[in-house]
Amino acid sequence: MSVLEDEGITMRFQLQEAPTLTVLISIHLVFLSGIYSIWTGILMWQQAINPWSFLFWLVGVLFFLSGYYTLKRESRENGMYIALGMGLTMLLWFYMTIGISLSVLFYAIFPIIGGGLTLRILPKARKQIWLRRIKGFWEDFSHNKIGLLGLGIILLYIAVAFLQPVLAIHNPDEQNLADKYAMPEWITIFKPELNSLPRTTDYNMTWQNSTALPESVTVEQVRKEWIIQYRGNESVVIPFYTTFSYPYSPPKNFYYEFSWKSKIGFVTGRATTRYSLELNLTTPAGKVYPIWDQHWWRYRISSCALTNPLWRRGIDPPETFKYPGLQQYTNTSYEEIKKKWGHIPLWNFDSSQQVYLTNPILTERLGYQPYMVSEMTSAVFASKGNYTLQLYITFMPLRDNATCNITVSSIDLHVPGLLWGLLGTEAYGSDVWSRVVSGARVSIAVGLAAAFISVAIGAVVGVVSGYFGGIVDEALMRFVDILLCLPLLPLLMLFVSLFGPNILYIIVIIALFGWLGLSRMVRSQVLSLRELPFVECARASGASSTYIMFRHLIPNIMPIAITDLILSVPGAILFEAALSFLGFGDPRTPTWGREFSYMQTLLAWEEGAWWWIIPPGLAITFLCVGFVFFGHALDEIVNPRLRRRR
Amino acid sequence: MGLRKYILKRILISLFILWLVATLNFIIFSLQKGDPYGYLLERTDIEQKTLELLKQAHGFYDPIHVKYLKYLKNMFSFGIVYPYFGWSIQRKAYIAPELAWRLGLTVCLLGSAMIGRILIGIPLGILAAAKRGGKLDVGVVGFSLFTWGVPSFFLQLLAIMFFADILRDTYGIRIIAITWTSPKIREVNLEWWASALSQLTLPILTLVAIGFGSWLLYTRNMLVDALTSDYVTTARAKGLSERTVLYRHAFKSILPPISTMITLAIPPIIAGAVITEQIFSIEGMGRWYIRSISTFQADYGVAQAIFFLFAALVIPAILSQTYCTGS
Repeated sequence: MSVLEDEGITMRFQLQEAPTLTVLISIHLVFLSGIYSIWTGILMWQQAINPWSFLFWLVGVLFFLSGYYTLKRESRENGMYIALGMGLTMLLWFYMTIGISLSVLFYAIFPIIGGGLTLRILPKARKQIWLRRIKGFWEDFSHNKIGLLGLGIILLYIAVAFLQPVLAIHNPDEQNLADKYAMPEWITIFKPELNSLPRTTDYNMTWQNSTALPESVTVEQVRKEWIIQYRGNESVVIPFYTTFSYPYSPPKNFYYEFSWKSKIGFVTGRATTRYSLELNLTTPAGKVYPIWDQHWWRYRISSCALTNPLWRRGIDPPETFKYPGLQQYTNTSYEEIKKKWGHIPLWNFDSSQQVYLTNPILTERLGYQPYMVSEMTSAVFASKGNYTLQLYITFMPLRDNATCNITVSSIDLHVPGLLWGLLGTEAYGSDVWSRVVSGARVSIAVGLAAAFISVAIGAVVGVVSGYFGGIVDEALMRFVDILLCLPLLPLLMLFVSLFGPNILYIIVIIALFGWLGLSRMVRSQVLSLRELPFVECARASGASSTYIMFRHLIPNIMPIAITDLILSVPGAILFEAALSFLGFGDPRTPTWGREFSYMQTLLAWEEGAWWWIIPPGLAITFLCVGFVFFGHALDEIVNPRLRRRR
Repeated sequence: MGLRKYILKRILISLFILWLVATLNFIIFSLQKGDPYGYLLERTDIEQKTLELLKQAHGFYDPIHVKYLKYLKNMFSFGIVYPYFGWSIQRKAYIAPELAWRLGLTVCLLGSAMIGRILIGIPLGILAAAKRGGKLDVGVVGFSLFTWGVPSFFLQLLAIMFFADILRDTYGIRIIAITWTSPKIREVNLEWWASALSQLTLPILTLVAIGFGSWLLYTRNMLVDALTSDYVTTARAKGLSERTVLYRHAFKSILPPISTMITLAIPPIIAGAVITEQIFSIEGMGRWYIRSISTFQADYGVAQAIFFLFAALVIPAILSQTYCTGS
């Protein structure tokens, strides 16, 4: 398939016609989209940092420029469809940026409508040329197995990118979905002994009361809360309980959460009663862990002692009671307090608390050293079976006719799983599968955008330098030499540290140094092209240099440029990944390189987290391999040196 | 224009380009925001007075043109004579001697990786071209295209995981030293070098595995081009054996571009393998570079020296390329 045969494209001169409605509409569209590109550019600069929006903005601006140029110089019909394509690009921009979570339909529908409309508007002769070109290309290409494989891989990745809202089940940045480094769930197929590992479980438990209550107490359940009203003269202990069954092996972490509030009747400024709340956990084996009481916070840190207006010397522990130290506050010292003071210290003021029991609190409380989290959890959840939580509410009246209302919410137990989803979780408990899937979109966009810019620069520089020759050529080629004298990756790191880690800058910087090879190749092609008869012909009929370059030379070097575009995509993707890996990436964009930078800082391989390390690596590898295979096949077709001589 | 005059003109232009690159280098690093003296003040127990003296000695208060001239003097003396590429603020030493042993390490790493790539890539490329379209060709080309897409850090992490976690920790097999274990940089002696070289094995292997594909593809494509050209057909028609045609005619004709490729592959050895050195914590040029450009340390003299050395090696390579291809 020779490019030079298609004189239909390279030799077109049309007569000027009187402006029709189509022309007016297209002028209008071009003008509108010019304004729109400026506006979206400003918007993007200010907030929406999204490589897709950047790519579409770029394409939109190029459409605008070419639409303007075509309208000014050439056929109106062409101007019309360029304007249409531009409008559709702008719409896509809109959906990719603002409606990023909108349904898949939007991503699919616009290219289809755009393509259909463009085909309708195309003149028949031109359509035939395109069809012939595509057919000829496909004839060559369909014999190339490697190329077909590459095209298949690329299409698969593009499908993943478009279907991201469906495929990424969780928000890639949502943390604590499961425990950190949770294994993928399908591992149990190969290792059935892991089947007992905990899955992420949330228990929402409402308290129950079974004992007969004394007359002085009335309890009432409002939805999931219990309201306990006390009105009497004697001490009462009211037990509540709730049970849950835990079917897994011990987890690495667990959290309790509930809230309570109290309201005491005061008479002449003095509280009528004191009260206490205690929470115990009984294991199936019958061991009881006192996991919480309301004094926990109060006496844990001696300096945060609350002022108690009714503190009684000799009866209550002193307010500024100094426990031996934070870390030594263990069960024994807690027991010592009980032994020394005879009762759990009570409160006699109104209070409300959101109680959130995390591992550091529980280890201290249950008498373990802070670093012995795993010992603590494996002791508490040692056996599978029914666990019971007990809540004891104690009232000790200070005077007659004491009143007190206490409201207790239901209690939540959260056990982060050690088995999770398709690909497990990473170091912060985010879903690895969702992160990998979201990376596809960004990485393709980064690769395409960078390759796009660099090929545009390279083609223009090569054509200009080859066409004009002489001093222009010398200057441009020496400029290329200067850029070649700078080591690429170190330079990119330097620029990122200069401009800040923004994905747009990274794209532009990768592109600004990626066009050197192409410009040399294009230049040598143009050197031979410019001596051909059709260029001479155009020059003889009065075409300007700009016209010849853009209408004759650039279409003819297009095959090389497109091949180079495809082949420089993997380079850009790998550079972005390498930059991210070294810590010079955009921390807000979910790229695969960012995964690797986290892995490196958190030493994921020491945890043996292969389910986190391998998927992003394979994802980058296969995306790049797809582009390399496709580009290699194109190269074999397009590049005259590699074409098999028959 | 005679050839001698042409080459002379090229060399003059090259020197001019080297000066331009050096100036660009100076400008880029003047724009950086790092403050090395602030870092010294925060992290070390240096006194303000001493710091002032240091700043004066380093020419911190010099006007920009004096700084530029000093910089040019530093660079164009190539670290051999007095300024020794200048003073490294963080290492508290002249840059050139510090650079020397790191350069040695990096050259050991990347140089042997390059030799390995060439030794594997070029023969395989010749084989693939000789049997074009055969199973070997498709397989080898497919494999090298595949390695093109593999990120080096991914392969290296996998290698570490395989050799450290699986072989060493699970099965107790120790084949290769995994990571750097001789951090005492001050004692650079023979023993140190021996341990260093033994620890370079794994990084070199991974670099060779990733990089030989491009050599293979290049050789194969050039050779395929040569094998389909007319003079090879003539040679075959003369009745020469396929072996003679391949090595005497076709391969000989692609030697100049391959030697150009080799020349162009030398400068990146100087710049260091930033990623590989970071992963295996090898104290080479790349790692020093990363540390020197961090905003805290801001030891830009080091980075400037590395950039300048790189440029000084690229320019002869480009020159020889121009001479070989005539373009």
